Amino acid sequence: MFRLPVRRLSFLSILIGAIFGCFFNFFIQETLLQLFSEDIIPEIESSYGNQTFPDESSYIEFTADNPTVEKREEDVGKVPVVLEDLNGKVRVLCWIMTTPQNHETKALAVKETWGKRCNVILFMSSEKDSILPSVQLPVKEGRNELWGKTREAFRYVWEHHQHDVDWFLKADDDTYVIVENLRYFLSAFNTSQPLWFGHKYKTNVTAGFHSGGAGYVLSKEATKRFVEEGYDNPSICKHDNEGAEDVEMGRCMENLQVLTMDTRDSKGRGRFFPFQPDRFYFSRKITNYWYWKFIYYPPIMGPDCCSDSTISFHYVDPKMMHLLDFFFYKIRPYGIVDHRPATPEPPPDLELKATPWLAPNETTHIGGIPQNRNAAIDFRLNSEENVDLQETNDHSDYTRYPIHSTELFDQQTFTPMPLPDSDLTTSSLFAETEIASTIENSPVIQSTISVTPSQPGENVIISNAKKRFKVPFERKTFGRNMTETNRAQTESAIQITAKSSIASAYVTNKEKSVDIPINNNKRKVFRKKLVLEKHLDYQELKGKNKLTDDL
Amino acid sequence: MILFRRQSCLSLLAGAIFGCCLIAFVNQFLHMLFYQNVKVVTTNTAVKNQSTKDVVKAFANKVIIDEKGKNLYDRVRILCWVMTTPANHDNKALAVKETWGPRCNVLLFISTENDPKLPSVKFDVKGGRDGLWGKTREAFRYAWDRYQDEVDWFLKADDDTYIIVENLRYFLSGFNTSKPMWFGHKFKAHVKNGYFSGGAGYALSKEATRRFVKEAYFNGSICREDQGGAEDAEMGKCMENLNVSTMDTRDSKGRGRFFPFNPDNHYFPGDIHAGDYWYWDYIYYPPTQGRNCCSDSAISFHYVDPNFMRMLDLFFYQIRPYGVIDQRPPIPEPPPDVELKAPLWFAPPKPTPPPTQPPTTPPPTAKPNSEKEVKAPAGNNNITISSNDTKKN
Repeated sequence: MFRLPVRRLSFLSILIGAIFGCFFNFFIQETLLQLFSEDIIPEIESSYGNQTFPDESSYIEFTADNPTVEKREEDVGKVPVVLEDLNGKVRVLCWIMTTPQNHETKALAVKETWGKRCNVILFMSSEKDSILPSVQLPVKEGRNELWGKTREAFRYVWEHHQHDVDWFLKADDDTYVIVENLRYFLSAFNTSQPLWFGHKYKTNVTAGFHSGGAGYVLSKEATKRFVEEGYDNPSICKHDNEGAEDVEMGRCMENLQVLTMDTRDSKGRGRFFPFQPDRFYFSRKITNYWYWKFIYYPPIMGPDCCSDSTISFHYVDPKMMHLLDFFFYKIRPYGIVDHRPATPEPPPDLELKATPWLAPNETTHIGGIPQNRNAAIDFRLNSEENVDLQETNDHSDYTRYPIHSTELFDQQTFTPMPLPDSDLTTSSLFAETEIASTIENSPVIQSTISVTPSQPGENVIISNAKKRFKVPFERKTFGRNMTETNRAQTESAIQITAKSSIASAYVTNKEKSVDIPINNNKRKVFRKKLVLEKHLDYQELKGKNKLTDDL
Repeated sequence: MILFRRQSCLSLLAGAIFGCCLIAFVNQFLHMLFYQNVKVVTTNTAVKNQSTKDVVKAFANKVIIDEKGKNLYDRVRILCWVMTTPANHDNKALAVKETWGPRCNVLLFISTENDPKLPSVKFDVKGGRDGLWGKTREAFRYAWDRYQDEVDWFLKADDDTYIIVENLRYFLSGFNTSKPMWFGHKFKAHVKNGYFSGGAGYALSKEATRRFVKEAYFNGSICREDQGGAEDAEMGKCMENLNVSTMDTRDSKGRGRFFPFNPDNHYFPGDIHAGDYWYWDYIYYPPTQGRNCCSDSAISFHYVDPNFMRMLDLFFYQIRPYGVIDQRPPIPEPPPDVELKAPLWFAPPKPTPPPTQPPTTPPPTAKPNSEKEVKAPAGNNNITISSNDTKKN
């Protein structure tokens, strides 16, 4: 009897105690812990108290009448501090093809935005100009002179800067290049190998050529061969100045056995783009019917179109150039770490074995491929979105020469003849092996082609070369009389040279990914050699015996 | 008797400890349940079974979180509610959902109809411009009632606003959410202490939202109770009546973070009409234009169409120059006017126009709605990336 009341009493006590404990804990949670959590986030506001309000003069003046972009000199030269100083290891010379009408608009925009990030920046024009400054090349102005300009430009840069830089980039004055990504991509390759990089097209040239508008990069060896062997020899690189400069460069490079490399990333996304970014991001925007016939590798459209190390875009007007600079370099989301490896992974077609991609006639993903220009005009979504249409009609603001082979097609006034491979057959020069595609979920169908024996054509012997082969080739016309070329190489020859040179060209660097610290007190203030060429007179150069007479 | 008391004391003590532990355990458990998930709200039963995590995982590659970012993600939790309308569900609201929306801790779409695609919450308010203030009231009340424990800050945005959520977290990490404050792009009209542009987005601290919901929602003398009115101006009056500080959001160099127009309208001065345009009469602080218009931790832009939103995502998150070091301090430097003592800025007097010049668009007088009736500046409102827009200029 004595125990029972005790038990019941203790049970009651426990209950009361539990309830009391609950309330107590709840009370603690609500009040005291709030105080604690306040301490965790530091009281920054008190430290703000000593700020003095800056006076009016520290703000940018409100100019009601100033319509132009302010040119502040202290902003022009600033470059972001770059990790690892790739700038010193991978030196890039950028030469911009421009014309006197564009010096103050497009070329100046290049100089103010991405041009200053190259190790050496040169503007190749037919007139010298102190604004940029530009190099005067001994060529006439005009769209028929662009191949000549290219030859002269490469010769000039080789003569003057072969010891200063490792790679030579050609770009237009409406090309936007992210130079850091270019360095990053090129850091894996050996510049003593004969290589050139860009956006690859498969027509006209067997091994493929690179789009001129998207920009292409030549290695040191490639430039050396171009200038020392190809410049003087008309059978390797033709001498008259006519022709589409990128096609001619492609033929030239092929004759010199320079390899036309793949520039996609390991997921198959491109890096060099011959159009603006939104044309690849949104479907049905590329209405240039020839594009689907030209591209070498399967396209990826949509949000995954572009590699995170994208390098270039084309048809970028000056305003958009400033805005791209603004978005890429000025405004940055905080706290995002770059997980890219120190050396990029190799592209899928490093060995250059892939069969060129052929566009099927009906591709719903791309939205159908117009077969001719008239269909392309109907196909456009918006009259302003068809750049080609606009380019041909726009004579007011900028004089723009269609300087690439691809654009020559858009100016045709007649319906072109059907392309030889419009029914999905191909010429004999393509390999018969199936594509070992490393691209998963490729949105467009790839076709495998079987080889048919070729018709014997003219045999060509290219003299003055170390390894040249006599190979029959098949002449192709593409609705317009292209100049006939005298060049050929066997597929096996390409493969042999490809294997041996690429294996040594690519640096297999398995370093871990580099974590970019945000609060890097060891700031590398980076002075780069920004060399802006003074005006150079052609006569002056001739007098210095730097140029020969056979121009 | 003594034993009696001691035993009962002991049992009392034991019970108290047991109760404490029980409550602590329960509290902790409940916290874990609601704390970390990214939630997309639905009131429609059709999507009850759809896992909200899967919805957001589809864009997981867009939600970039690293160690520092994750730290901020957990420390500065933001609820973003997007004001939208049924006509915009498929294009604008969807663009928000596919680009910057999932980066918030909680994302809500406030509309007048339920829609499982987004998903959006239906409120019984008038649609259109007349119901914007009503939507705002309901949205904050809804967000407070459901998510007050899960988030620290409440952001309002439009469906044509682009928010860089990481920069918003970075900026807010220097402030205490238990203090009554709100942030945005400051205008000096209508409200004495200034109010924030609705299109550029504004963020309320927890205390400010609490005051709004607990004190102002039911009190007509503090905040307007009917649905009409310009939502940002009304919110400004409301916040002023509640003694919530209208903060400065510029960086230490005086460059803004919240922007009521397109990026190119701020970067290329002159695009916003000079002189008569209402913007110059409204802004509180001196404007910055041109190269130095915007902080490198810029947070928001307005009048961004769906395509441009995806392009901005491409430029900010997907394509990145390799190897550029971020030199920003872990906590941002305070804005110049953190103590709210700065005088108002007034535009310099306009030059007298020549007599032959036709009158420009007349300045809007006493607009009830601060921005909604006035279109974005003519010119390149929506930047057309592909076309050569020199003609438009």
